[in-house]
Amino acid sequence: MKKFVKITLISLGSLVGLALLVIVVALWVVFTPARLTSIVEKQLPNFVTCEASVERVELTFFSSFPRLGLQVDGVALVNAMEGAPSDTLLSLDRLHAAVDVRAFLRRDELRLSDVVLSGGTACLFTDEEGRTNYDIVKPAAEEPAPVPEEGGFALSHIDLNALTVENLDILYVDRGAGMDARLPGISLTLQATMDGDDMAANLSVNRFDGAFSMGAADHLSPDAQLAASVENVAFDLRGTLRGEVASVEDFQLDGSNLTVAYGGETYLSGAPISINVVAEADLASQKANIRTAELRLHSLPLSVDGTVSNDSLRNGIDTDLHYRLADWPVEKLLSLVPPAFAGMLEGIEASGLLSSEGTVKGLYAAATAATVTTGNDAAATTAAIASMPTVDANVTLRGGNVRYPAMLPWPLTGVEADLDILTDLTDEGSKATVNSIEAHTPRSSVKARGTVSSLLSDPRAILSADLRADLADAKPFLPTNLKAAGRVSGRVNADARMSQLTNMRLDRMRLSGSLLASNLDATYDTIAVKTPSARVDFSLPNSSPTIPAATFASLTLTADKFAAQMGADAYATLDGTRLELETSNVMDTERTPAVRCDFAFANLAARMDDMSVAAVRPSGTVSMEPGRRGATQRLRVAYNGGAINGKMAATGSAVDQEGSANDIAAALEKLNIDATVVYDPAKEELWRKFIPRGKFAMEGFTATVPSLDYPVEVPTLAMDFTPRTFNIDRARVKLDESDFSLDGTVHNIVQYFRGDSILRAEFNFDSPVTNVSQLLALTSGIGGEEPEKPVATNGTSPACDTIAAAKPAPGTTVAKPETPKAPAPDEFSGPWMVPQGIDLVLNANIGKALWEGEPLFSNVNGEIWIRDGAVSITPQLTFDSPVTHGVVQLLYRTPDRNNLFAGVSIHLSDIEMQELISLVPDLDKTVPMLRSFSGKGEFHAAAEGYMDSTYRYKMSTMRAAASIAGTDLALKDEEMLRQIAFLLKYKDEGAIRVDSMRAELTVFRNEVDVYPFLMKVDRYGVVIGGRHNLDMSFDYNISLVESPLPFRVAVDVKGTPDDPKFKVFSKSRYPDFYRPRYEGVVESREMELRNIIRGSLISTQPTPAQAPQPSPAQQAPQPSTQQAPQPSPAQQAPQPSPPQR
Amino acid sequence: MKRILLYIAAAAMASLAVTSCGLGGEDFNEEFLYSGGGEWVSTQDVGDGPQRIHDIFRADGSGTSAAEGDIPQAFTWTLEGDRLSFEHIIGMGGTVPKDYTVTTLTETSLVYRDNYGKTISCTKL
Repeated sequence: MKKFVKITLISLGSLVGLALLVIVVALWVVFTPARLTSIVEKQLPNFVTCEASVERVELTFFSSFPRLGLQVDGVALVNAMEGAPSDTLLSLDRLHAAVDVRAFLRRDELRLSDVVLSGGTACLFTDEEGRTNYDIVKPAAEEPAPVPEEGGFALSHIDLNALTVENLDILYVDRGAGMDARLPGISLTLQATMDGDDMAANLSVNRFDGAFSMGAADHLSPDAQLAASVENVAFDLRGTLRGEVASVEDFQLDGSNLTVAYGGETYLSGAPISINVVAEADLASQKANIRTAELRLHSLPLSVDGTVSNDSLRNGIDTDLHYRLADWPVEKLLSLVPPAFAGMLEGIEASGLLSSEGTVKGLYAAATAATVTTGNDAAATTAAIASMPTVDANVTLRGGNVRYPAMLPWPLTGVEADLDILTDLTDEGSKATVNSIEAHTPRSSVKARGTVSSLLSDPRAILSADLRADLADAKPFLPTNLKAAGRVSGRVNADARMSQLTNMRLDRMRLSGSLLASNLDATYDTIAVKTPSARVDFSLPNSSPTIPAATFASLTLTADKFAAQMGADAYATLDGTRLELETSNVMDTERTPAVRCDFAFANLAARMDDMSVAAVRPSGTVSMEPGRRGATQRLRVAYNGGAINGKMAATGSAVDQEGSANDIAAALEKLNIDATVVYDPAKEELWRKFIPRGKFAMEGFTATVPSLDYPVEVPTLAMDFTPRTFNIDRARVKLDESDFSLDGTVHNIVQYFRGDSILRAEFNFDSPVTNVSQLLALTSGIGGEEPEKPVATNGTSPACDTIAAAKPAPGTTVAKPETPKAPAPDEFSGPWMVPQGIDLVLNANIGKALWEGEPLFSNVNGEIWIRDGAVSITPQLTFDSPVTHGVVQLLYRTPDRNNLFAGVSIHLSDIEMQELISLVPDLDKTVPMLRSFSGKGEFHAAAEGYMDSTYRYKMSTMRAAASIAGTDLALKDEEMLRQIAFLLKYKDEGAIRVDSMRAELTVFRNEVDVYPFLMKVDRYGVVIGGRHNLDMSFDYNISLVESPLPFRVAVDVKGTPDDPKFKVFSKSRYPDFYRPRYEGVVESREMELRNIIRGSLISTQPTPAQAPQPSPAQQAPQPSTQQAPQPSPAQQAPQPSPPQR
Repeated sequence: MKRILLYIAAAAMASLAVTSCGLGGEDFNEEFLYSGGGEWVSTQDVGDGPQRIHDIFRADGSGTSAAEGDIPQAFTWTLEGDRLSFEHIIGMGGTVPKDYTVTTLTETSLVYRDNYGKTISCTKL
């Protein structure tokens, strides 16, 4: 056995020695480095197209035992290309590989080990036309592939035990893509096995620093659009390739730092990055399945899984990825913001955790050109087609806090957001759903939800926000002169685009909401409002406008209590407030605004300076809208309400509760107004500018003013008005003792203002008691204007109707027109000017008429006309007084303040003579002898004349005629009468009784002519006649025509009442009067004149069918008191009918 | 018979005498009143001091009268013999008749007086 062993060992040793010998010989003798080098250099051109060289090639055996090694030193591949950074494609200091010869020889397996590429550079270059410097392998077509002979060399398994790259500098330049990459000092280890088509590999790359740039002409130029560098790159890759399926079973990159710059701006600077990927790819279908990919950048994790495949049909990349990032600290994200953008975030402090999860699905295809042919049209259209995958992401933010003092005066805390974002990077396909977003300030919060679409163009947000705000938080955003406190809560809905918000196009937005304000206290300048609770509902636009044009917005405000103050002296308190406001876009200055406000209050109280008003349940509408024609505007005011009380302190002092005598106070129980005014700014005249129409009614109105000692009461008033008519349905007024009702209609309002017609009105005036003097004082001058110069009739000059004053005679006085002076509104300083330009009929029915508080007449019935500057009572006004029954006609005209015309016709029956004087005081002056009579008689008179502004008669205009008749009269026992009786030999000692008397008298200017009349006293008949002047001087003749005496006696009485002169036995002027047999021409003429006078008076006593009209001369417009040319006959006022000749 | 004839003659003379007296005195030409515009002016004190009174006579028997500065008021007039009669018209009804005796009436001058001795002298404008 030992021998056997010995022999065996010796044999083996011999064999080994022989083998060693053979190897030594082969290595050192046959395959010397020189020979091998020469062989390789000769063979290289057969394999590569570029210049190639090696310095030394040698085989190793012992150093790589048991494998056979090949070591090549000084490998160089030179392939010069224009523009390439270097001619040398590859330069290696050493290339070493060991082959398992036995496996190669026995099993046709190529087992490589200890493959080392040590030291050197690689420069890979692609020019702009896509030619590369590394395409150096000779094409197979040029050299037919070796066909393995039977039993020849065919590798079925390649095992790369270890490939080590040591310190290799790699430079890659692609000018076509503008891409440069430099990987200096690469060291890596690769283990790989290939079995047929299957391959497994482990790659471990040691740390190195790499750089990458894109978009620059020169590699790594600072002008590069995209530049990236990685420091400390080291990764491990374990993967397999089975058939067409490549699997990355593990890829780990850790501890590297990434720097990325784009457009010269650094976005990441040494950001720590780690990547862990498990994926597989089907090379045939060009589809990659990322089972898991985890990326950490600055420790921010991002995980991705899904598939990515090449869609050759659509020339794009089809994606179906799912990603997830969780709890990214916002503050860290902000720290990653590049410095160039950091300024935008300066001062912003934010925190919170940002998470997102979503999918990326769809085709990514870059824009390509497509040709579309339509029908027979040969024209082709080129369109860019691009496709982006759809990103469906859910983004959440939890525990967010934001502090940005520059914009937000308070920190935002508790910011929570939950958004779903769907986008394919097209405007139509991009949409965000705000599931919720919430933020808080120290005293306010807002929570919103909704959607945002058109993210990539003009985002449209449809949001609904719940707001709880303390207005103190809004202080920094409010003008300095606006201060607000209180809380506001509610919901606001918005539908608006970003462009609309930017341009404040409120007319394009949709906003609505309902806000509840509590303890609101706001002050703007001097205006302050306060309410404990108010609710505001608003809507833009107004979907259901009450007036057509008010489509812009609607707002409803309700508040239990509301207080407003303006300055220190004006404030209002409102209970149960409800305001409904509609409006058009008032910021549109090119259109007439349309605004409507319905208001309703339970109570309203307001005070301004020394005025105060309180109203119960006021409600109504105020609106303004475009009219139907042109640029007109239609204004409407409607009011319905209960009691209103108002007060104003006349002295300007504050209104106190008790009030004072100087206060103006008004109150009413009910008020209803519904009025519209069409406003046409294009019209010039006021009556065309404003066209009113409406109704007005009130009840229980009372007012007290300091200038009146009595309250003004209007128990009821209802009226309506149109542009043409003004109708008083009912009106009852109480003024002190006056109590009257008024109803009627005013016509021709528009025509009046247009100048086509005078104002016509007819009213019924019913009154149990009327204080006439008070009414005259209150109505003095209504409608009148400045005193007018008389206007000529028939188109003539007004001066033509005036007696010329141009040539006053020396020594004469020309009356100068008195300067007109308007009376104060609350005092009757006179004269009372008749309203101008109206035709008013007042059907008066007055139970008791008072003058200055004293009873004047009773049962006054008649029509009172006010016609174009004149007042007339027509056809008659009947009245009763305690002393008589009367019929009166009156005409009062006020052509100017210095020519006041008064005409009167009065018929009194059964009146006591002394009462007659008291009723008509002027009779005492004109007929002084009446003072001496007592008893009843009848009185007929007509008179006219002009007065000046102080109601002083102008004697030159006085005209009057009177007829007085009486029976059974008594003459008073007066000194003058006693003297006359004595002179006439009348000896009756008792009172002088006058059986009958009838006298006619006239007044012409200052002359009072008493036409001879017969007075029967007992057996005496006395004819009295004569004249006295208004200066009380007289000239009478008293003739005794009947007496027991056998002779005639006459007495002349001249002088004045205080100094009468008697002339006894003077010649009787009337010896034959009332003695028909003896009447001569003179007597007849005197009697004729008397009959003319009486006849004219009696015949004019009105009947109901008659209506006194101003005489033609009276109707004539009045002349000026100024100088005037001489009037021609034709220019004179219309004249009365001439007498028959 | 003589006595009868004497009575008749006496009655006829008396009649003529009475008729003559009834017609007044001198006849005046009324055309002077209204010719040349018919406007006469006089100075009178009618209660407010001396004033210039303008009277306008028209041929149809109408006229107006007014002090300077006042508004004219209408009248009618007649001239029979030397009796100048006015009827000043009151618009409300009634008239104021006034009779005067003309003493002078020429183209430019008019003088008349009333029964109470008041004389008014006018000159034509």
